[in-house]
Amino acid sequence: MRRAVVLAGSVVGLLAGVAPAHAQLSFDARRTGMAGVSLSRDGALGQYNPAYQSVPARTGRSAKLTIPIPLGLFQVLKDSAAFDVHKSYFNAIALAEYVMHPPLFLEVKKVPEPTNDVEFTIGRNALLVDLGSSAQLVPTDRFGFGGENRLMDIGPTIKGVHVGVVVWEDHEVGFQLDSALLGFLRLQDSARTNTLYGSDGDGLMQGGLAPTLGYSGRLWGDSTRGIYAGAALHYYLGAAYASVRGTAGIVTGDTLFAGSNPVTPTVDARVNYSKAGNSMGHGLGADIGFVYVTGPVEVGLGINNLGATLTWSDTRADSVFLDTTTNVLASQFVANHFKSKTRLPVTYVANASLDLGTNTTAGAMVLNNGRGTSIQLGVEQRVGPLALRGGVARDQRKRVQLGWGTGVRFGPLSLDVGFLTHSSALSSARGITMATSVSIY
Amino acid sequence: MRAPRRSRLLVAAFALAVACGEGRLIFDVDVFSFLQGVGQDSLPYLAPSPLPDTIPVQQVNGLVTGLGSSVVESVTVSGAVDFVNVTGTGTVGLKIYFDTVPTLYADTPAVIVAPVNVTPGATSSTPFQGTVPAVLNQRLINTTIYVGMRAIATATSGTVTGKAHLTALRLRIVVQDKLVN
Repeated sequence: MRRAVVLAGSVVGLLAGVAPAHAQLSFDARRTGMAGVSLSRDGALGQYNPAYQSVPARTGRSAKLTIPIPLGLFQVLKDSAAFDVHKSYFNAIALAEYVMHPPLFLEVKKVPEPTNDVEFTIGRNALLVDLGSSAQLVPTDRFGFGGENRLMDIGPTIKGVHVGVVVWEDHEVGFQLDSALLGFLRLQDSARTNTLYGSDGDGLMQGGLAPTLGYSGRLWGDSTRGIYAGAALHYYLGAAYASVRGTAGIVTGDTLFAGSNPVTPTVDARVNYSKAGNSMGHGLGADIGFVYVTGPVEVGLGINNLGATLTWSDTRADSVFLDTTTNVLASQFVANHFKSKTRLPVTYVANASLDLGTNTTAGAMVLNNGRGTSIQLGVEQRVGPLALRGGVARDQRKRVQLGWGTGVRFGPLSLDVGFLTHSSALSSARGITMATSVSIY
Repeated sequence: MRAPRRSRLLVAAFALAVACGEGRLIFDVDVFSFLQGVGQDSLPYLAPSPLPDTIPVQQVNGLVTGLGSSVVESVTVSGAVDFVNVTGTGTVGLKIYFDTVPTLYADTPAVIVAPVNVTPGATSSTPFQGTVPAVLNQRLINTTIYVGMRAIATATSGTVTGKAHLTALRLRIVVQDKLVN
């Protein structure tokens, strides 16, 4: 059990540093080679901009099927011994990388891992921690992860009108260390007596169905020049939700490592929830999108979950605290059968592409899914059966990444390879991932 | 000094959170602060004497839990002691003991401060530093360790009396980064 806790703790503790590092990586080596930009009207464009449902695919550009070649799996099998927590060479950073970055593709250059000597200075009334390079892991701002996922969308689309049911889930987790804990962990401040070291945290999980009515179509123009619009109205039916918001930490006593007044853990949180079987949550939300195509130029904008607020009529609230006599979490009833509201995060994507007429196409995309903005720029030059690609991106951690790649096409098949740099919070050095895929046109 | 278990768990949590990649955990334990906090940082000596001059064994808390299978690379002791001599001429030295059990005076001392000459009314300040015998290394990553001191006084003229007064005592324990049993 303790191993599991250790493992989970190590991994969760590293998520801040690792999670966003591969935001641009896709299963398509063509996109990887352009730092994540899609020139074929798929990927995030279709997901976040409903207008793209009616924009015809670019001739010869959009693949019917793209199959990744999982060279990275061989690498993982070779490294699998490092997952054994019993071994002295067990490496939690490597494990976290694999959890957050499914190792489908080959790491041709790994991000250097810090050799983190960690020093504790302990006295009767002193505790000082020097985390070395690992101090960069400690988030200074509010750290969060999560988002809304549409797991499936079932229903027909006839003449641009879509009627269906979306299965959705949303999870959000966030926390922020207080200044005392931040100073202790990151700035090597010595622990002080009679001081609270804590963090504020919040989390939300919700899921359900959403009957959907949507339309996308060309409002004006023809296939070479036109304005496309799309909109979808979702009636959210929430099956269940739970949210928590509160603080947790420890309060030091009169003496840190001696005496009869040890540190006191403190947890003070409020949990709101509506269980499955209670009255469902209800709410309306909308997606809208526009695409303007004029010859070689294309511009699009899509927004998801506009006004998506769910109202839950049968909510229960409990107060959660740490019982200091038994050292276990305890809860106390606060209220029941009251009305509460939850929101779904608004996501937007803006994109543009330009066909320069010399077998050169350039594109750009800005995506914000509620957890930061990523910006991607990419270009593709085709020379006969050969394609050369390059791109630059600013990831959600505001770090610049580079992509480059090539591909060769034989009739309906193409073999593509793309390289993309990535970084972690642990190091200013970058690693390089090599993506490989086969596309069928 | 009663063990504040939750303090150790706190330290353990920090260690677990950061112990990743190749690296070492280094514990710099200010043992002197624990002894000073309970007034056991000095030790009277007398020579000749039929009885050993020792302090009551003291308990030191602070290392992390979960270090059971870790390998201790090295343990070094450093510190300083003032031999405040009152009467007599002779030599005074000090033995410092660390162990996981309170019956530590029967075991090998962790460090021996070589005897120095003392004279009436004079104070001899003696810094010391040493590596703990390897046999003790693995014991020192216990969550609780005991510490003791014994003065070794010999008289060459008159009766040697005085006090060995610690001014510093630190343990530096270097552990290979392996926190899971």
